[in-house]
Amino acid sequence: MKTTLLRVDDLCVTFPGAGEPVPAVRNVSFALAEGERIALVGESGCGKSVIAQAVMRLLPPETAISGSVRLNGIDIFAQSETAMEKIRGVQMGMVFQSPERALNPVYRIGKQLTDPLVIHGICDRTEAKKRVRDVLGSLGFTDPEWMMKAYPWMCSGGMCQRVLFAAVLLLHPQLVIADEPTKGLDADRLGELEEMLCAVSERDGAGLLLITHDLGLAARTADRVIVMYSGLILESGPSDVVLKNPGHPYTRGLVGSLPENGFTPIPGMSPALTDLPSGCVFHPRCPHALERCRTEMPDLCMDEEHPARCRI
Amino acid sequence: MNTAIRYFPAFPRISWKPYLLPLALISVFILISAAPEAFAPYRPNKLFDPYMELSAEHILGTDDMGRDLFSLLVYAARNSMLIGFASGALAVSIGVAIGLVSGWYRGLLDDVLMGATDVVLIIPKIPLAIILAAYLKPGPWILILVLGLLSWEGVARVIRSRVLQVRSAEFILSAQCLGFSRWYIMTREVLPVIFPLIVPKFVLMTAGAMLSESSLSFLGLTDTTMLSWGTMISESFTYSGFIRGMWNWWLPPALCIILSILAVTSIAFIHERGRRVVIQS
Repeated sequence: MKTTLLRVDDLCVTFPGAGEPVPAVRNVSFALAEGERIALVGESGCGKSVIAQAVMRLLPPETAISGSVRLNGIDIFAQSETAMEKIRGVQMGMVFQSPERALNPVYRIGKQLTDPLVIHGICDRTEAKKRVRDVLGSLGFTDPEWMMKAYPWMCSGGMCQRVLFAAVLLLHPQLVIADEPTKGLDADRLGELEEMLCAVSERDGAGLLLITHDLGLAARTADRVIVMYSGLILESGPSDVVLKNPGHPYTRGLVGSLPENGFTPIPGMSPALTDLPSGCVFHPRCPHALERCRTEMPDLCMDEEHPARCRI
Repeated sequence: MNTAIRYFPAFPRISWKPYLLPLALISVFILISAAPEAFAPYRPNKLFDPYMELSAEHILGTDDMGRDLFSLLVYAARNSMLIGFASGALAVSIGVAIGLVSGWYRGLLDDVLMGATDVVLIIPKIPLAIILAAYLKPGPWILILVLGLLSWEGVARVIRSRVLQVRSAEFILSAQCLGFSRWYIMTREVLPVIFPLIVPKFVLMTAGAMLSESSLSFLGLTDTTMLSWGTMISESFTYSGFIRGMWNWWLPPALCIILSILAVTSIAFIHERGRRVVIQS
């Protein structure tokens, strides 16, 4: 058993809404081992990205957060902002969706890649430039020199994506969070992205938390899959088991809505977070819902190999 | 960069042509204020016959005390320019600092700082400057402080709203995730992006300060021994320059005020228009 890198315990995140508070994430617990790749999947608004921001501690100050997030045993929520600045980047890195917008438009790419190394005191500027050149070369840029002099708006989405990966890889964080990295990317770039995601954990032994709604990507890259719905974990387990033999009707619905499985959409819409149904959150859309699903919410036992929040 | 321009012919290049005239004008004024001895035929306190007509020796004549008006005009440039640029720079520095901190930290700090900004906004500037000028010993530095400390609120509000916009951009989030400090993100990531907003603000603040200085000087509320274009017009008004129809006394400083302010503001306007064109294309 590998050592646990990230442990999220009973995480609840509530945003102060216009009228009533919005529970974005409820009682989420999971653990990520070194070198492990976990995919958080679910529809938009199910709280996937909120978990990533809670782990990075980037949520606005007015957000109510309970539970704990531990990275290498360090309690993230107990750290000061100054301490977090030393943890972010070096111990955990994040790759964002829409790569073109995740780079500062007024700086050359070379500067944006060397700065983190210099700021964290890893090496001086000359050495940093050398490392950046090497990493850009290893990511498949034929002319790293040109790339370092270019501005982000000169580059395509795929190029920016690779630059963002370079920024994360240069600092060798133990935990890499990728927030919907496939958004805005051409289909032919997907293979390349998957390779980069796998390389992160294989080369550096880093843990990867992949946030996506692309089940195919999750199946191909992740060791374990966590399925989320309305801020709750509904099911989790090894990716091949969860996606081939789903334990929850929602996961079954998600798999069934894939084009290769018949393109059958799940009926209805996900509920508003301020107006959650009683009992099981999924029962209004569930084809197998029983009378007791309307009143009781099944528990989730995370110690099991393949737990699911369903009684049926 | 050459390769970049070759690969990307649409690289926006700034045309310097429209800036030439206003920049040349401002350079001339700055040059004159830096070394008035080189341009003025006489020292400003050298006395001749009073109320002299225009002549080859005194191209703008002399005033009631017999001082050469052209020399006065040249020596007055320094204080007018100094007060304009220094209080413009002061106002913009305070405004940018407050706007940046307010927009970045939000929450309670933002409420307090924006409350202070609103208070400054409702203070009537010229009347307060008149009162302060009456109580404090008037001089160019007091004027710079008063004008600078009373006119930053517009800058602070504009900068704050832009910082609020920029801080939620993904590249700022990305910078946070790379572990950059708050100070670094504010000064190196946010500030360069909002810089195009600061330049015209500084220029307009400068022009506003020049105008306020002239108004206050004309009202006789600044140090009367302080040479500036405003005091020249004021003296011409007080010591019968207007009654005698001595346009050579009040018109040249008035023209200098108009020209310097026009030159400074047109830089801001050209700058803004240039940006719009870049954005549209």
